[in-house]
Amino acid sequence: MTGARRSSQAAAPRLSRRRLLQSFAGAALALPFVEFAAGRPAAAMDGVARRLVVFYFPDGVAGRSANGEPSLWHCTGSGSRFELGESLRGLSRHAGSCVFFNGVSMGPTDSGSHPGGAKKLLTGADGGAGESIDQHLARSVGADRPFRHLYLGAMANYAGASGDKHISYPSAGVTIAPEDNPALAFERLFDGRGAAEDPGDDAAARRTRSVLDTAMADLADLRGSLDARDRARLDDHLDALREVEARIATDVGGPVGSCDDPALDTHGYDPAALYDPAQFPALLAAQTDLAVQAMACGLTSVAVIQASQHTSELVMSRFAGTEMYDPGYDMRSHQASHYGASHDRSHREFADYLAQRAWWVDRFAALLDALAARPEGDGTMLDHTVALLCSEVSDGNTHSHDDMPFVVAGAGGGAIRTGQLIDHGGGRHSDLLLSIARAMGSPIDSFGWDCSGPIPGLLS
Amino acid sequence: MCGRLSSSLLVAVASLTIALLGAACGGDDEPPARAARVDAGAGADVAPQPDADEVSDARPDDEEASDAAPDASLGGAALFEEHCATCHGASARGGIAPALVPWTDGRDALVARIATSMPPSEPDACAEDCAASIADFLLAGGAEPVDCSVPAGGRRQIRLLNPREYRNTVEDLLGETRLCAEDGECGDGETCSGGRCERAPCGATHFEYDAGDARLTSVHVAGSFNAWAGTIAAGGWAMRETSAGRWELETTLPPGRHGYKFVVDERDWITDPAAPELEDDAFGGFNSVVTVACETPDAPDLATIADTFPAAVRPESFLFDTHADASRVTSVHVVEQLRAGAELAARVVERLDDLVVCDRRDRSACEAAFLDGFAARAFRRPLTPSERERYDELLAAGETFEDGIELATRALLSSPSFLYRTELGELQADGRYRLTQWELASSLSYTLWGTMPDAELSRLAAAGELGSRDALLTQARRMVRDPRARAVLGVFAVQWLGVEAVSTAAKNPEAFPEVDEALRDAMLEETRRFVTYVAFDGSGGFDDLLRADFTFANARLAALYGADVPPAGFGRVALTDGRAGVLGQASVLATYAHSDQTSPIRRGLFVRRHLLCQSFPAPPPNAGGVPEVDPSATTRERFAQHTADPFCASCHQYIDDVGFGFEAFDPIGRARVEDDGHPIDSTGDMNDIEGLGTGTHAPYSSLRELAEMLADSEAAHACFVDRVYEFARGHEPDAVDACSLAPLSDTFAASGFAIVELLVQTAVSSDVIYRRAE
Repeated sequence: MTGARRSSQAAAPRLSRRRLLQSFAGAALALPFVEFAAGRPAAAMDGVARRLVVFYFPDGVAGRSANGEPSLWHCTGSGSRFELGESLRGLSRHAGSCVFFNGVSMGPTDSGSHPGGAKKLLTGADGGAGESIDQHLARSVGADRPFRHLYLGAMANYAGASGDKHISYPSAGVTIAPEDNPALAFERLFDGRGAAEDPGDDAAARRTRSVLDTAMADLADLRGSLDARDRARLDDHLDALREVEARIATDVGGPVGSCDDPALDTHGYDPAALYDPAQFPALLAAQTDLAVQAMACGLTSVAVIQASQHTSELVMSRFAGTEMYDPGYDMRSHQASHYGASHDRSHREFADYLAQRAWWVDRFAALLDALAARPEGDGTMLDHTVALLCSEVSDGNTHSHDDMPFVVAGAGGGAIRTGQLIDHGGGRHSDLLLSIARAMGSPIDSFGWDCSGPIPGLLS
Repeated sequence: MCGRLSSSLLVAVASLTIALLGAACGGDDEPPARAARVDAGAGADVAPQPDADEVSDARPDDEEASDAAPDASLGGAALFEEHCATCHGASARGGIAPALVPWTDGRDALVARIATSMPPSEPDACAEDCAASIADFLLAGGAEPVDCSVPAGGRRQIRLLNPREYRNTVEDLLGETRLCAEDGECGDGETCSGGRCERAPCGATHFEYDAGDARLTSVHVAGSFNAWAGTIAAGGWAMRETSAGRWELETTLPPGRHGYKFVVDERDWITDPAAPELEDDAFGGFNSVVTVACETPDAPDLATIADTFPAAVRPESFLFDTHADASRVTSVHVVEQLRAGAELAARVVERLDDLVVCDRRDRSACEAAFLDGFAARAFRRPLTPSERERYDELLAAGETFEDGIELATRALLSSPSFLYRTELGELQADGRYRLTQWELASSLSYTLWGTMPDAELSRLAAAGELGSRDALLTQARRMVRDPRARAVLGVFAVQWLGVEAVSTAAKNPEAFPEVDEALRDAMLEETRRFVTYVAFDGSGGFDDLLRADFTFANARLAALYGADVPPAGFGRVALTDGRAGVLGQASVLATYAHSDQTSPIRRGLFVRRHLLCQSFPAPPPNAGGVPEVDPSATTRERFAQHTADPFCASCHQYIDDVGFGFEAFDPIGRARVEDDGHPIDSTGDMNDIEGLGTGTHAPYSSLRELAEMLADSEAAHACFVDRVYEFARGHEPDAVDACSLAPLSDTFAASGFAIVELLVQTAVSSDVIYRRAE
C-alpha cells in the first residue's frame, strides 16, 4: 500500500522509502548528526494546539536488547543535533516537525506486561486507574466540538478483544472500544448518522431533541434510586446524550482546517472481511484519512487511531507489496517482537520485527503527510496539531516500560518546540501527557501518577 | 514464586538457582530461601525460553496476573488477592507457588521476603507497609471465612442490555421473534443461527448434479472460492448423493462472480449443465459461473438491528458478553440507539393494529392502551406517574395519533428504563433489597432467555404471583422448555469455550484454502447445536459435553471430519477419528491454534482456564521466542524444551502436557496422523487436575482419555457452575458470592450434573431475589 496515498503526493519534497534506504545502506551506524530546523516560528501561531491525534501501534520497538545492544529506535545526540534511530528514518522528512524522546518511563509497575503497559499508556496511572489524556481533553477543551472524541481502530477489536486491549479510558478502570469499520465511522461523522438527522431539517431536529430530553428526564428518575457506582455510570450516559443533543441543536461553527468534500476512500478493502490481515494496510489508511478529514472539518479535536492491539496476532507477512510480504510464512507482530536476546538480523523474527516497526513509522509519517498537505491559517494543519506516536511497551522482547517509544509531531499552534531530541532522564510519561494537555490549552497542573510537571524544554 | 520473574532474576534463576527453584516449584510447603537478586548485566547468556507469545496471547484471559502497583492503603486481603493469589492460590494454600498458610518462620522473615522479592516480576513493588499488611493477613490465617448463614444477597446494579439482548428484546417487543424449530429448521429464505431464524445470508447457493445412471464415488465442487481444489482432501466441497444419481450441496458464497466446475470421482472436471453462465476456462473448455449479488432489503431485518452497536466490553479474563459493569454508554451508543429506535418506531406505526388494540376513533383511549401495553412491555414494568406524564405529552405532541406513537416509541427505546435491566429491589428491614414482581420476571427472562418477559411472566408479575421460590421454580422449569432457552445456552456454549474468535481467527490461506466464512460459521453452529442437544435432548449430563462420540455437522464440516454427510443441513454424525465432545470440535481446535501451526500451549491453557478455572500468571518478560531448533522437529518436540528448563517448567508442566493431547488435530481441526512427516504423539499427563500444586499425575494416551478425565473431574464440575454463574450474573463470584455457589454445586451434583437443572437453579437462587447495596 505504500505510495498509494493521494495526500502523500502533495507533501513537501521527500525521499522515497527506497531512496532513503539506499542512502543509508552501508552507513547505518555512521551517519553524521543532522541539525534540524525547528518548525515554523511560534509568532505565526496562537500558541495553542487545535487538535490531538494519537497513533498507537502494538508490541513495542527494537529497543535495548536483553544482551545490552543499543536501541535501534532511539535517537542519539541532543537538542537540535541528533541522529534518528534506524527504525525512525521513515520520519526523516518530518523530523523538523517532531520531538523525539529518550528516557521517558512509565514506571516499574507491571513492567514486563503488555496489558499493564496499555493501561498506563494514555492514563499515566498504574493499572489504568484514571481517565486517559484523550478523554480528559475530549471533555474539556474538546467539548465544544460535535464529536468530542473519535476513536478509530484497524482490527483493534480482533477476536472479541477484551477491554484491556483498548487504550482509551473515560474513567478509571473503564475502557471503550474503537470503531473498526471505516464505512460506519464515515456515516457517523459525515452522513447524518452521527446526528441521526438530516442537517437542516428543523422539524426532524425538534423531534429528536424531544426524544433525547425524554431520555434525560427518565435517566434522572432512575439515577435517584441507584448506588454510587451506577450513578457514575448514568452520568457518563447523560454526557453522551448531551453530546448528541448538541450536534443537533447547533450549527457548530463550520470547518476550522481545510475541509473539502469528505469522502470515504476504502483503499480497496473488502467490507465483508474487516479482520483479514491482508486488508489491514487498506483499513488503517482509510481510518487515518477519516481522522484527518474529521479534524479538517472541525468535527473533533481529539482522535485516537488504534492499529491492532497489544500482543498482536496480526499476520504482517500478509501485507502485499511490503518487504514483510511472504504468503507462505505467517509472521505475527507479537511473534516477531520476541526476537530473542540479541539484535540478530539473520534471525527471521528480528528481521521481520525491524521491517514491521519501520512500517508502523511509515504509517505515522503518512498521517503527518496528510496533515501537512492541508493548509490551515498561515501554515498547514500539522502546524496546529499535536500528533503522538506510541506503543504499550518499549523493547518488544524485554517488555520494558522504560525508554518508551513516544514521538510527538506537529508544532501544536506554536505550543510545541519541534525539531529536537529530549532526554527526560527516566522521568514519568505522565509529564509528557501533561505537556500535551497544556499544549491543547487545558490548564491542569498534573496528570496521571507521579507527574512532576511538563517536560522541560518541550513547550514554548 | 515461579511465575513472573524480572529479566534479571530470570537470568539468575536460569544460571544459578535451578535446583532451588525446582524444589520450590515442586510444591514444597516451605518457601525456599530468598534467591539472591543477581544483576545479569549485559551480555549474559539467556537460556532458551518458552514462547512468551504462546502464553500471553491466549485470549481473552491473557496476562490476568497483571495489576496495579500495590497500594498499601488497601487491606492485606485485597493486596494479597491482587498480587499473590494467582500463584499462591486464592486462600494462600498453594497453587503454582507454595502454600503460605500456615507460616512458621516468623513475621520479620515474612515481611522481609515480601518486601525484597515479591512479586518476582517486580521485587521492589511491594515494600514496607504493603509487605507488612500482606504478612499480617497471612499470619492471621489468610482470608476470613465468610459466614454463609447470614444471607447477603446478590449485587444490586443496573445492567445495560448488550447488543444481543437488545435485538432479542425488540424482536419480542414487536412480536417478530422467529425461533428455530427443535430440529434447527426455519422457513424458506431463512437460516437458523444461534437458535434464531435469520434471513438466509446473501449468497446461499444450491449446487445440484444429475449423474443419471452413472454410479459415481464422489462429486465435488471446485472453483475460485476454494482454490480449484482437485480433491476433497485438498479442500474441494463434497456433494452428497441425495438419491440415486442425484448429487447436491447447499452452501454460502461470498458476493462476487465465481467460476467453478464439478469434479467427478476426483478425476473428470465437468461443466455444471445448470450453470446460469459459462466462461472460457483457458483449457479449451468452459467454467460454470455463478454471480452472487447482495441487495439491501427494503425493511430492516430485526435480526441485524443491533449489529452496528458497540460490542459489550469484556474485562480482562471475563468470558461473557454479559458483564454488568464494563460497558459505558458513549455517544456512539446513543447514535446507534437513536437510529435503531427510529427504524423500530416506523415499524411500530406500520403494524399499529397488531401492537395496540383499541378503538381508533378514541385517540386518548388508544394512547392509554399504548402506554399500558407497548410502553409497559418496553420498560418491563408499568410506567411511573411521572413517566406517564412525559409520554402522554409526547403522544399529544403528535399531529396525528400515529405521529405521536412514532415519537413516543423513539423516546421509549432511548430511555435508560428500556436500555438497562433495572433489577434493584425494594429496601427490606434487614438492609437487603428484595426484587419486585416485575423485576423477578425480568431477571428470570434475561437469565434464561436473554430477552424480555413473555406474556405469562408479565401476567404473573401483575397478579403478584411470582413472590415465592416455588413460583419462580415453576416458571424456570417452564421456560427451559422454550426454544429461547436453547438459543441462550448456545450463546453460553461458544462464550464459555471462547470460540467466537474462530469467526475471524487468521488462517493461512495457502495451507488452508477451504477456510471461508461458511466453514467458520459451521464450526460455531456445530458447537451451539451440540451443547444444546446434549443438555436438552441427549443425556442432559455435563460429562457428555466432554465424552460424546457424536457431533452435529453439515456437509462442509463432515468433509473436514471425514464423517458421513448428513441428509440436509446440520445433522448428527458419529465420530470415528478419536474426537471426543467439545475438545474435538473444530471451533475449539482452530481457535486454540495459530494461523499455520498447532499450539499445544493455547490448547493446554484452554483446558486449564476455561474448563478447570485454574489461572496462570503472564509469562515472564524476555521469555524469548520459540527457541532455535532443528527445523525437522515436530511441534511437540519444539515445545518439549519448556519442560526441560526447570524455570519454564514451573508453569509449563501444567500446560504443555495437556495441550499435547490435541496434537492429532491440525490448526483447523482436521485429524492428522503425521506432523511434518513425523508420527503424531498424543500422550500426556493431566496432572494436578483437581488443583494446581496437588502433585498428582494422570497419564493419558489420546484426546479421548483426556476428555474422560475431565468429564469426571470435580474441578471441572465446580468450574462449570462458576461459568454458568458468571454468565448469568455478569461478574466473577467474590467470597460473599461463594455462599450462593456452594448450594448450586451441591444441587448440580445431586442432579447427576444435569446442565438444564443447573440453569434453572442458578436462575432462582436466593441471591437473585435478594440484593445487597454496594
